[in-house]
Amino acid sequence: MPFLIRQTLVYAVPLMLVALAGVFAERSGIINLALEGIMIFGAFMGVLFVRFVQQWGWFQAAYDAKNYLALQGFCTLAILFAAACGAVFSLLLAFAAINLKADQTIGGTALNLLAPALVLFFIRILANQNTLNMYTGDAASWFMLKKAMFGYGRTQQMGFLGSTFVDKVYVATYICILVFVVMSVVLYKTRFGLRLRSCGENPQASASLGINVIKMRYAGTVLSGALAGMGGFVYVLTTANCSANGDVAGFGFLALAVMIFGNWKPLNICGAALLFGLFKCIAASYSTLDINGDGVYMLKNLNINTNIYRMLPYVITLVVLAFTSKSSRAPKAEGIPYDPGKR
Amino acid sequence: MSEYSLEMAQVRKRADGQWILEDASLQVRKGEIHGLLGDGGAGKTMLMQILAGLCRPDGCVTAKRNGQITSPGSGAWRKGIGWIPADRGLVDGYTGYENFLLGGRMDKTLRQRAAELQRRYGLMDVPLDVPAGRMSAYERMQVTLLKCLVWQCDVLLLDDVWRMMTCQQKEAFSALLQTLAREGKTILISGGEPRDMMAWTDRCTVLRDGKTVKTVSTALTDAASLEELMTGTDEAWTPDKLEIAPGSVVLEVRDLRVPGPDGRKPLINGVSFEVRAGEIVCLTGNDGGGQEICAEALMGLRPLARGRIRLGGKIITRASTRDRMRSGISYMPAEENGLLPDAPLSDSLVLHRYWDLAMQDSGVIRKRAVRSYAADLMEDYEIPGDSDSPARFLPRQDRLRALAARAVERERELLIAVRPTEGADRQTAWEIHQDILGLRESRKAVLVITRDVEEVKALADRIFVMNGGEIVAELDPALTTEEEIGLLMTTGLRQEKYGRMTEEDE
Repeated sequence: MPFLIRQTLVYAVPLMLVALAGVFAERSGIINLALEGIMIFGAFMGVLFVRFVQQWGWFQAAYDAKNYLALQGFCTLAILFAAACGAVFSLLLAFAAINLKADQTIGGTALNLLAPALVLFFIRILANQNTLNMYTGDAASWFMLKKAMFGYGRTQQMGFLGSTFVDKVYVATYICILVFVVMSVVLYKTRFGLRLRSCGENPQASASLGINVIKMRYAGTVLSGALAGMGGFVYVLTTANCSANGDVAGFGFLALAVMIFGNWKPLNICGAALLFGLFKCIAASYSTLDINGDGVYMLKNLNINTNIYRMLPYVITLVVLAFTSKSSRAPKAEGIPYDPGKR
Repeated sequence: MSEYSLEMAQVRKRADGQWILEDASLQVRKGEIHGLLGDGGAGKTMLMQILAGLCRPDGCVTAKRNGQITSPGSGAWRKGIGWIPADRGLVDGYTGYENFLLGGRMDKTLRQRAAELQRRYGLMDVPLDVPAGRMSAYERMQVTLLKCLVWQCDVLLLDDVWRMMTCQQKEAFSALLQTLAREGKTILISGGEPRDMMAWTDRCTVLRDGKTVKTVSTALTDAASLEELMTGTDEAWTPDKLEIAPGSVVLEVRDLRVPGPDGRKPLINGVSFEVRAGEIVCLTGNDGGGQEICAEALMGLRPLARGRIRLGGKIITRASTRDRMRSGISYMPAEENGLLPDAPLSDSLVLHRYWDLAMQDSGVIRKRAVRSYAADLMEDYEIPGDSDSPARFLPRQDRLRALAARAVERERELLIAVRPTEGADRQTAWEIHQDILGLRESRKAVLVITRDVEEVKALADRIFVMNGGEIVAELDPALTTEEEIGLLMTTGLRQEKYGRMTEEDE
């Protein structure tokens, strides 16, 4: 059970963060189809940052001295750097969609094509292989929380809460949850959020109240890029041992689905992401999954083909989306370039 | 300080390949109600948008606010200019109160101030805690006005707000405007009806084809000369309507019911009427009255919960839209969903018959036939322009003419026209009305769906007024006043009944 919850969170958290990134862009009126590309770019830049900093030896002393606090700080820095790079990358989309009034779907697709190619190109140059890994050690030894850090011995148990939420988790996951909550509040409870959302509904009415629609849409897209870049890095940190290979397994597109499924609302997105994360976790580890702790691997004993389990998260998303998207309501003015001179 | 609150000279603006404004000038005095009169397509809305800071003009000689030079097309809100378009002034997903919040700093006294203003101007009925999308068009406009008052705008730009009001609403609203003007607000109000200008404004600037014709003081002129300034001719544009005795029933609708979304209240509930040959029936009502949904249901664009539709001798309740068109209905949808905006106009003009063997050969469109057909149609109905250029690039007048031409060219048994002349100038409206009356003379049946009471008066042989998805009255145009129709549209109640009710309330 602790394992199941932990792993579900590992998949669900980046997903909901990136879905929220989509919400920020769409609420401001820009369809951000480039989430996948931005995630890939953010993941690459985050790993690159970690690699270089390790190479320069800045945190080696902290690692050797087992100064976990400093290492978590290092991890946070990498997340921030990935977010910043995601934001910069999303400026491309913002410029094309807002200033050049390009078709946003095509702009987003262009970024999705650009990102993996660019990233692979640099990985080949830097690492001379198809994957960019950490310079030394692995993600678990550098960034993961372990019960040993809290003075527990090898055989001691931490209790249900401890073994679920403390042992073998990344702080990055909690940072993401925190950011998710904070950004949801920003979008729904602040004056800035109110103004941002109005630009996706009726930009002309907003403009007549002195709101700068162009600026708001830039803000929405750039924040979206930051969240997606962050989500991308956290995804590879927690599931791919902090290595980038120009791929995030379609999580960006899944995030779009989760966003629609969640009706552009944070709480629903949270639920949708958890549902997906649960099935993804089952798919990844069904053969060693011991749900009620009696030593029987029930799902494995069912003798169902592996591929069925692998399909499950995507099939579930498809089915749920087919049933829920009817009632969901997209922002009214999304995808329409703001052109005040138009009649 | 200058005596003028707003000044603009020689404004020019181009959009979609046409000059919308060529030489528009305007001087609005402080504390007056200034009218901006112009036919559809004269550029009123664009000028308003420029004044409201929503878009920059392509050229402008002077722009002044209170005598000081400003840059046109920006920062108007901070200079106290509030924009009140007919019903697009609010964010639909937000409540009235949230819409207020968009205007400035969050402030605990905002709600209090709003309540205060509501009391002072008799706007107590205006709902502020309901999402704007669920308000009626008139309520949305009132909330927009309140929004500008809460933030202490001293210039109010009201764009074409009279169009969607009934006589009673006009009366009440214009009285409110006069109170505001007395308190020192400067009001600029646009419209296309000289009589409204005469009744409610102090001075009036007339705009024609993007150029300012003249500014006159309404005390020194009359409606007829304003009309002449506006249209540029002294032609009256009255439709020629002959006496025709209606023939047999062409369209018979019985107990039509259209279900609402998610099984809520039906959008149309038990509507029955018939249209006879050689007769124009007008189905009118406010937004949300259900008359347009009724047209869609007749064309098979909405699922029916109940009811029967009979065309000629044939029951078409379950027929597909194309079968309905084949069995003799031609359909003129509203302008916004009638043409393909970005496709060549010729494509739009064959939408009602591209399946004809003349237009296609085993599923492949005969491009040449379509082109020559479109060109002929445009020539016959005198629509200028190129059949290959996108429909969006045509002026609104010509788009309406194209829609009308497509709908009337083959003289089917029944024409269903939705808002056929909305936003048209006098001449275009007259021409489209002539087309429709021509059908009537050749003894076809016509159903016109419109919310324009004057159009109803000009065309109808019989009038059905809808409110809340039901027909509330059948009227004879000869025995009805515009006031009565307006009242029925908004309240669904007849005058005498309404009168009695208010007495009881008091």
